[in-house]
Amino acid sequence: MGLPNVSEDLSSEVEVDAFKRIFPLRYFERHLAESIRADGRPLGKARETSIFLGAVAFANGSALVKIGSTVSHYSCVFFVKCRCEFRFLIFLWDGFNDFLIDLCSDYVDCY
Amino acid sequence: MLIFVISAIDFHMPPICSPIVRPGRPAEASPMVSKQLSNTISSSRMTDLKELSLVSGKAAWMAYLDIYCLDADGALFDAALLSAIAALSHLQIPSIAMNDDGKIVLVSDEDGQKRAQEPVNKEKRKLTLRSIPFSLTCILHKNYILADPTAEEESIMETHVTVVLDTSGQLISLYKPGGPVLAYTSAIQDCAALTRQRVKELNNFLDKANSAMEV
Repeated sequence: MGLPNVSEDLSSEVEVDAFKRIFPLRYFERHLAESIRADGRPLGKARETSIFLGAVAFANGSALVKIGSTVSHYSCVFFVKCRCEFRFLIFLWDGFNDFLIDLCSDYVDCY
Repeated sequence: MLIFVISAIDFHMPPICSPIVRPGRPAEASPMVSKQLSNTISSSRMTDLKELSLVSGKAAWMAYLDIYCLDADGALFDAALLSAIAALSHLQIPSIAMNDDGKIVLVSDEDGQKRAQEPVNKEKRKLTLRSIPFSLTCILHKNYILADPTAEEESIMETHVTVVLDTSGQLISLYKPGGPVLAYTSAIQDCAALTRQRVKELNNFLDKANSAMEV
């Protein structure tokens, strides 16, 4: 029961990551068309901000400022329905042109 | 004649802050942010430089601002300016006495002997900040304006606009380093409106931080 769902979720996550890496500008524009960012923020909102004074003891004045965080939350809602299949045939170098044709045809089929 | 001393501001990016920064060679963004910070702080006139004067014509304080970027995730100038302002608001100028020889000596409360010296600055005191500048960086992309971009968004979309306003709503600085999207009047006005909201938020944060320190 659990195994097919797990493999399907993993494959869709791999698809989203591949799409983001190969077409980064289009990935962000898909989010912009829905008026959100890749980390889930609205367009005009700044990140979480915190100020901590007195961070360095031997300085007369010091501060630690944190805007945002290193953990990013990506929304995958818009890409689950996309059935791109990136066939990675890197070892068969003679078939590289076929790989490119497959990539373009898959890209056309998705939209 | 008073001595007016302008702060020396350095912005450091150690290699721990980003995979792009290499050890040994300074990062590209570091001198840009340093220069932008110096221009913003000097043109905002948020501190009266006479407060840094000790003895007229002889001695004055010189403030060194060293800002270290620990994690570079976009909008570096905003974080650097906010940390500089927070540090200056937390700054306490130590008490100072002058010797008979004319040398400046730090006054420590423990030592009773040095209290016999004539104190120039009797107490620890804070700088008076008049109008505090805050900044917001936006990305212009086609018809969209994205406030406070991450490093990923900055690397993909190319047009940035940084607007610096102070607490009274006056425009201190506007910085747009090229890019394919033109800066129309409506876009600049929208960026300024977003920055005005951000100035209110950050001013509240700074007041909370200072009141928390006083307790």
